[in-house]
Amino acid sequence: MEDIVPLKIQILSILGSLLFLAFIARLILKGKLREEYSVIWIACTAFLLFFSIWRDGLEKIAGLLGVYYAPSLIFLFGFFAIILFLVHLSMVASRQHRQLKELAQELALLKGQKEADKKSHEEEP
Amino acid sequence: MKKAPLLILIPCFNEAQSLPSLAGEVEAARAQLSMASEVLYINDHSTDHTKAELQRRGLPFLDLPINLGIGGAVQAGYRYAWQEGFTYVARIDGDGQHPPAEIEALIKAMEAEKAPVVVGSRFVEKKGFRSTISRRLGIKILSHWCFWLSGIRVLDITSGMTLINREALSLAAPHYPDTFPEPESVVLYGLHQLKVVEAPVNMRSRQTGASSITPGLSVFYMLKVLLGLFFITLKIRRYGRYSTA
Repeated sequence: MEDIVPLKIQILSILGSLLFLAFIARLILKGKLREEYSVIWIACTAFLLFFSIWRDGLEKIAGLLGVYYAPSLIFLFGFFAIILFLVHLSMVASRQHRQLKELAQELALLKGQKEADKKSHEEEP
Repeated sequence: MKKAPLLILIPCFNEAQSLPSLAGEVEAARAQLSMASEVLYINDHSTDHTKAELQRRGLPFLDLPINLGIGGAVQAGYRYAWQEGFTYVARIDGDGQHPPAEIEALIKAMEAEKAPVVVGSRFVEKKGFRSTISRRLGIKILSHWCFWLSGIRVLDITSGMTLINREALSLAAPHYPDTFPEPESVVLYGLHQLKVVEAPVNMRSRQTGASSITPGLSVFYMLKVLLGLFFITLKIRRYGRYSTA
């Protein structure tokens, strides 16, 4: 069978995927990335690694789906995954926005309560 | 000591300039009101001397640790009012646009119309400061959009001068909308079968400071509010009402 992906590129992409995996692992170890977010990145790396090793996998899948130009499949999946993840991040940001608002309000109310207590305490004796 | 039934909320963001005259007006107005009242200023994490000014004058205030914007700031006040058991909550802006003495007009309208929500309006009777032409057009569009969506007619739909009773407060404390809250809050009340009426009041152009809605922001404001009105209507219609006390 003819080589679709040259060997050099294959080695490079495997190395790249492994490096990325190591980078993600390092971020988790240093506490800079929560495990729940790391799952998606590890999944991405696994995906990259999978196609780096299975060299003509992309062509085969493209053939199955009737996609004429195989690399466009990468763009399709890539864009789709990125957009999904961005929506997910917007949801996270919205949730944190609401939580922050509630915390700030709670804090302001407690501070006010404390001031009022102090005042009434001063007035008593 | 029995608590006053009315709480007057005054959200402030960088209002150190207008505070001295406003505080004086508020005290004068409270003496004239037909019911006993308390005041609560809300410092929305101002970057000027608003907080120092409030402290120096010994005015009661909530101090937000981060800037929440008008919606979050007012909601903090509503939550306070709910906790402390106030029966009525008036809200006026901290920039001097709403003469505190006009709160009496809102109280009268609430009594006369038996309405849980009264909005101070510049457009019912065309008097006082009525803003620029482009703003009036924007307000008109929002007002029509709100009516078309929800069947609630409020002319001065962006007015920040309101009086609500405890029934409406039970909605506002947990669910008061974010960012540009006034038009959405009208829908929030209206779709929960709380009658919203407008009372004619005299407003002034702001005394000091700048509007939070600059020309560049106004397009964004319109889009945000148009969308916000659409979604809050859909949400309440589709997923049912929030529970009220």
